[in-house]
Amino acid sequence: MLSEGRFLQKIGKHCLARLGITILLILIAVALLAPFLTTYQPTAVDLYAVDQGPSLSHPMGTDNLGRDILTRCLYGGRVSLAVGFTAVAISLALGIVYGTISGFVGGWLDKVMMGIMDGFLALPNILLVVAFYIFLEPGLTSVVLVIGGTSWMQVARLVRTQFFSLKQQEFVQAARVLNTPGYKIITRHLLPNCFVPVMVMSIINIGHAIITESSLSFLGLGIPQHEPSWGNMLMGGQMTLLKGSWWQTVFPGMFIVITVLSINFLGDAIRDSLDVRR
Amino acid sequence: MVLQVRNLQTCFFTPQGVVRAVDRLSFSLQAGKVLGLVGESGSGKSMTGLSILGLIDHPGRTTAGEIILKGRDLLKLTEEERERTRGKEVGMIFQDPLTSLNPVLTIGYQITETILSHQRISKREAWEQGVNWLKRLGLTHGDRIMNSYPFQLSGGMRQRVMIAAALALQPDLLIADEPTTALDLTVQAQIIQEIKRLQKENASAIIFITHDLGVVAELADEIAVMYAGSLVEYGEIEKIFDHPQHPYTKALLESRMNLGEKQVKFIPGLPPNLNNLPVDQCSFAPRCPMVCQRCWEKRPFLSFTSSGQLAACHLVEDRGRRENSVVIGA
Amino acid sequence: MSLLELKEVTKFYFQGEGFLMGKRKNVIRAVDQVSLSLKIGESLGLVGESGCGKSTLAKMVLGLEKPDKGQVYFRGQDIFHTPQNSLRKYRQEVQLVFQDSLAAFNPRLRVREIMREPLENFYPEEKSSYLQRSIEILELVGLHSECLGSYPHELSGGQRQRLGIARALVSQPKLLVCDEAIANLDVSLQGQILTLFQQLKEKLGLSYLFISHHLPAVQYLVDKIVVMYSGRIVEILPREHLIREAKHPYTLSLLDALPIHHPRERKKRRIILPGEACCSAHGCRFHPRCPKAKEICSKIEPTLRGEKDHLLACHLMPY
Repeated sequence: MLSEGRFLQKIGKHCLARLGITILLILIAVALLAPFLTTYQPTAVDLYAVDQGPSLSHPMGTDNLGRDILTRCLYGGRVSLAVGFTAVAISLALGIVYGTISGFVGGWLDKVMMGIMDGFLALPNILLVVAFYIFLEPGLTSVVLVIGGTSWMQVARLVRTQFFSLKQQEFVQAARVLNTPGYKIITRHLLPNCFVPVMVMSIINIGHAIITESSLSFLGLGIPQHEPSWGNMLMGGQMTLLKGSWWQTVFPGMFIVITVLSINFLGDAIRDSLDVRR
Repeated sequence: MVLQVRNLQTCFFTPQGVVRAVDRLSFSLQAGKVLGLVGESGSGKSMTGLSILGLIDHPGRTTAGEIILKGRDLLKLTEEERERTRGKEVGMIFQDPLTSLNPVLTIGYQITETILSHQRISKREAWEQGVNWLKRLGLTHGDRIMNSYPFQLSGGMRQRVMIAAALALQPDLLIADEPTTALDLTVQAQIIQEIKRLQKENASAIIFITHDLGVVAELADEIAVMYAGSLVEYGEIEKIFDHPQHPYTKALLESRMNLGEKQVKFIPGLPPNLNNLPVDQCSFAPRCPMVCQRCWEKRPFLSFTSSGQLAACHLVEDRGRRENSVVIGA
Repeated sequence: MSLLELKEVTKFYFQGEGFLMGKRKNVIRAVDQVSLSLKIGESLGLVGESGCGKSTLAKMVLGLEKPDKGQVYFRGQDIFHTPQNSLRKYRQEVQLVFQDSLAAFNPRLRVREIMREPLENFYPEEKSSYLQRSIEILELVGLHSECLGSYPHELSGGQRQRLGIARALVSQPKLLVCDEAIANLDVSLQGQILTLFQQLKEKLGLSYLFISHHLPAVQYLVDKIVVMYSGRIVEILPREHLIREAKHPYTLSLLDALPIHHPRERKKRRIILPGEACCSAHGCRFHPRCPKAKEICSKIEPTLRGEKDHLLACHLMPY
């Protein structure tokens, strides 16, 4: 019957969210506890064990230089997750400030600010990234700055649009009539009511950031090969994929997919739980 | 007899408890007559309309009763059969035509699609019918309106379009849920006039759901007053306006404001919380000016009064018993 | 001295602004040269249907929007041309009650925080008294202090509307603007809130700018009634005149459009206006729908004139 089906749907969604959170927490824990979970070093080269498939001693196989892939995946997780969270934090900070100013003041300032931002958005991402790298050396810090610096525009636009629509709402007009000063209107009425969509977007952006980091590393612009990250592992493994050494790409790829999926489920759960009216 | 509703019950099963939105409602309607279904928010009047249309969604369900439309019990039909009755046998008009009409399709498209889904005629004929119906509702520039989008029309025009679309299928029963509430007073007066005129020509049975007693006074032949999901009074409109039997009906009629009144009369207290409403007492007891001990202990049944109205009140029952009238159990 | 005075207040809106600057297709005069005044302790009712400009007028009275032409004076001072401090004093004296009580509150704030906001704005030094004051005002409007911890959506419609009134009363205003404050309520609750307004009027000496299309309610509460159509005032009359001495055809059709009281009144002859509220370019705004329109009505716009306190803008019924 129709009603039962919908009820199951609700539970299912809820389960997925809990599954996502659990997996994410496991991943984070595992990444942090990496030194305790494997005996190998992530950078330890073993020329006797080059390019071996999964076995008892190397559950996920080894790469071109005989390094244990499982170990590199775990240590790589640290990098990828750190990049994901930090880059999004930067984009949030920049985006919220920019969007608040533009959205609250409105008028010509908003048009100018949005125009500048649209200019940035019009450029292909790759160009922006390359531009950043004129000034920065490839490495962990630069990757975080690059990703944060190229994804704040989305957040700014969202905040600005939310402000525009919220400003029309009666309770914001009420605050003006009640003589509430501008900064309080922003902090008490406007920002908190943008919180949910901005938070959901940011959670999903964490997933994007991880994938972008992987892409950058894949292109050689991210983390150098020595320190593992899921992305540069994919890059390193692409040559051997044609040889048939699937384990070098599939395992890091799996980690990326599972992490991003879990983050998306987490985003759903947070959105639902933050809605005061449910 | 076009419609007979017997002991209709629609409940909503929420985590906080069971809400009996429609509680053992019974009434009947003849062809060509207008029934005014009156009540405030939470009375169950809209839910009654939705139950008849079969549009009650999770977590609600029609749990008991019969809805007999021209001899067929609608509740015994399958979902597909039920869907086929909507529009053709039971038409509907809702309060806000802006949300009932698809904003990205022209009026003409929407009307002709509606007509074509129930009649096997050509598009041209459906268009002609549409224009004719618009004309009958006072919209003379039928072609221009058919080519417009909903947002290009005013509220009153949109509502007329809705009524035209509903009547074009010539349903046996039309359910109108607060169709004039969102309109300006002067536009409301126009629409009521149109409906009155069409009623004479068309002879559909209409259930007119509203909280506005003035609108009911204009249109209805019979009136059913609902409170907290159940029927509290039912009868011919003039009789009820002249001699309301149930204290709620009396209070409702008295709380209407006249021009020039020095005093405002109102019903004290709040409408009841429908969650887990106690079954063994009168739901109006907390606000009733004539409440007595029995009202808190036993739920009153509908009983006939000597003037031929039905009312669910212990005081009415007493009077009835003294005059030896029949008691109708629910 | 009058409490509130509007002089030739006008507000335009542009429909279909062209891409190039200066290419404005349709100018809609939402409020067109409206002048009225309110004495201390007096209440004014603003009546009209959709598109008449009453909400826009309310926004200008509250200082939320600036008129394109004309001035708004409060206690003799032009509120739009004074330094910021005076506007603050103005805000204390003029407050607002909304129609839609759910949208009038930040859904994330509880009642106690909602009450706190105006207290912080108007009495920043007296923090320790906030709780006491909140409870006092809530009780004044008939709400129990139990609701302090609730969210607006947890209250009933009637309770929310009372909360809106309570919030407006915090600054101890002299003028309360009520924009369709009872329209969204059930019939039985309308009476309760209206009674509350009357009690507050007597207890606190409040003036009201009561905007509503509910004529009996307006007549009950206010001293003077202003009828607007399509941005202009068509009639100003004292409340006693509404029933028998209203003169403008629009006012008369509004009165006729009131719901009848008993089915036997169905046969009564009534004016039913054709069409809907719209703006006509020349002459009287109302002439396309007016049952008594003559040729002059389509050419010249009538001015508001009359004697004493009953003013009328109509060619056919000169005073």
